[in-house]
Amino acid sequence: MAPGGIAGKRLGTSFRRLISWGGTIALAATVLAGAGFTWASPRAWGVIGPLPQQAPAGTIPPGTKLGFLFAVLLVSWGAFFAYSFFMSRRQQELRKEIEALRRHLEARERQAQQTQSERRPTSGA
Amino acid sequence: MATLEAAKETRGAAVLGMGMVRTALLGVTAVMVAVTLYLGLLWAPPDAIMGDVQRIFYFHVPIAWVGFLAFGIVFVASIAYLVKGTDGWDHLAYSAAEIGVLFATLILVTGSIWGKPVWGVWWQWTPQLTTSLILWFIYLAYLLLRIYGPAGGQGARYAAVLGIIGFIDVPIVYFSSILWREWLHPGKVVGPAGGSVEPSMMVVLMVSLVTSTVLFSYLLLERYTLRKATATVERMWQLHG
Repeated sequence: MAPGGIAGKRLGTSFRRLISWGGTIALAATVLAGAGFTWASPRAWGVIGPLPQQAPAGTIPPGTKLGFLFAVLLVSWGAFFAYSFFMSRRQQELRKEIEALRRHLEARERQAQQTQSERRPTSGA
Repeated sequence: MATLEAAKETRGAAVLGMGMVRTALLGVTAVMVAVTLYLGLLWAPPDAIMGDVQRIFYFHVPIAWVGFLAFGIVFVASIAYLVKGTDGWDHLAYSAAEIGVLFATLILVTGSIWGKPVWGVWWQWTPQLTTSLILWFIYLAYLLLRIYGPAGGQGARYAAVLGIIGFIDVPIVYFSSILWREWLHPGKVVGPAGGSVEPSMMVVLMVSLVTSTVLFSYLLLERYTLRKATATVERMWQLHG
């Protein structure tokens, strides 16, 4: 492969990695913004006084008990990110394993070449 | 030699193509999540009876849908594995089961969080909740069987049988509120026994369902690729180690 090709491939890999990370960060930021909005909402914990309309008896007035909604978002996205983190850890472990396998195969190949070169003068004599 | 080089190039192009699909899927997921959060938290009107707590509906129902979809994939992939015996189907079944258990856990947790302000209790032994818990146990057993069960093809076959039998519970969960005439859990919103939902709320629900499906597709693609790569590396260690 031409040097430019290798450089281009590296650049492509870096770019894809950047997009992948950027996408993950954008996703995390969006979720945190949504959750933060709910959390910061003055009505979230029912701290603002009387609501404009009195809801019928036995119902939950709008703008109250939003903490439960926040809890659902937190749990759902927390689980999603925890799972993504678990997968990324597994990917890292796999990468290390592939590297170890590559080194192992190279060492075996070197050993085979060495054995072959040691045998050659003997067979020639 | 030329054939080998051509094969390498084709494989490289396929891997590159898969990477692009993954990146595109992640981008689409991010945008759709942002839209769904906006629609679900701000755009949709509050419910007349449950107030803003009802917005949990836009997260809980799609999570349940994805859970059922994941177990449906386990079911289909398990049948395909038993029929064809190719490892790819087994990897797909395992990956879908793992994601399915994650979402089934979320169904139980988010449902419980929704139940507290609406019913006044975290949990009730109603048919839908009980059958959902059974479903969670079945697929948890599936994962435990994969981890601690026999290795290789035998373990995969046992798990495939469990994956097929376990799926019987999915329609039972879905129709339980009709089968047992349940009064506590909200009735069906979409489907054969669909109830009446305000149109704008239905729009948000549909968008949430599409978003969760795209998110699930992304997770499944990532997990499947990882599982397949892990299996390949293990096989190479066995061959050359």
